[in-house]
Amino acid sequence: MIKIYLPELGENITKATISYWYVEEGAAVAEGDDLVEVATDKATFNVPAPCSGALVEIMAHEGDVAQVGEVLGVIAEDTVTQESKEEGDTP
Amino acid sequence: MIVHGVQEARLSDLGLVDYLEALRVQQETVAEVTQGAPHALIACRHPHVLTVNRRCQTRNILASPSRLLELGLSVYCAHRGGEVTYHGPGQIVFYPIFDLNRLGRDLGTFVWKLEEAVIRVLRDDLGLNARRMEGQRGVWVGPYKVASIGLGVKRWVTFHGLALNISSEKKYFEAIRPCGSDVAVASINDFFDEPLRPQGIRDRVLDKFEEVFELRFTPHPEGHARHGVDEWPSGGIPPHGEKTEEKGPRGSTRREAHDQNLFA
Repeated sequence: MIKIYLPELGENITKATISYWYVEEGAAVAEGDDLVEVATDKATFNVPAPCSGALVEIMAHEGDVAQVGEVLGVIAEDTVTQESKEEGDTP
Repeated sequence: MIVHGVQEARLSDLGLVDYLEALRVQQETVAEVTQGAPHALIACRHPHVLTVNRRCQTRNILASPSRLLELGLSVYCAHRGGEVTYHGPGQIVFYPIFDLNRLGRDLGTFVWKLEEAVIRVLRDDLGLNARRMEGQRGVWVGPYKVASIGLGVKRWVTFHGLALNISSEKKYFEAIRPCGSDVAVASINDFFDEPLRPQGIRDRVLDKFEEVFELRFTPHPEGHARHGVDEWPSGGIPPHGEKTEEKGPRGSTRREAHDQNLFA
């Protein structure tokens, strides 16, 4: 399980409002895809998926305010892809 | 990432361009910059248009559908959050597509610099009392908002941008509650007897962008200026540093203008 964190967005930004989840719980995601948009008083910021897999849990819902470093959701890593990678890595 | 020295940025001038066409160019440019191309800045003006958020919420459009038709205002649902925004040919819109991985990953600093570029033009070149408003984005002259900022950031590459009112008519802003709040909006030309030329203001803002962000603009190689830079309206403009005749917004007297602290 890979946690999705609200990243550091700048020196004086400590929190952000969850404005939009691009995918629903249970949906497949690919590494780097837009996952969730958060809004600060400066700009909106798209948090990308840290890995490929399935978004198994949304912990911060649209309208919620999250602190920097807080877990927004959880991705179950794509094990098939991971296993294939590991097999490919074997000499 | 700390980066030193002046960086290259590609400048595209789309002239008067449909909102959706400019959005398409923005999206293409975001993809290029994300893949390592130099930063980019798109300058343009839009025909009269209202943009609302991705849920197409129209609660802050105050005008009736027939009034919107009368004003020639199209309404687009943009894939963004936030509230209703007006764009029109009396504004200059700047879309900075900057990679903050190369300029510093700090949204607050980025917005401060955008505001600073505009403030330096209005304050230093035009003698206006330009300032920020605590807790809000944008630039004000006295109590009037003259520049609005709405930004998105994707993989630390910025998009959307800054709209500066040069000669926008009040009736368009009266059709909406801008950004969902009751804010007094004005245009730069409201403060002067002689209208300033948008192209001149644009050039000064570009100079300040270079100064504040430590960039050097070069024309975009694909020549996004295909829509014609000659579509910028002409008119008088004072030379650098020379102040024009002062007046208050919408015909108030100079005395009233000073009472409102509009001039630096």
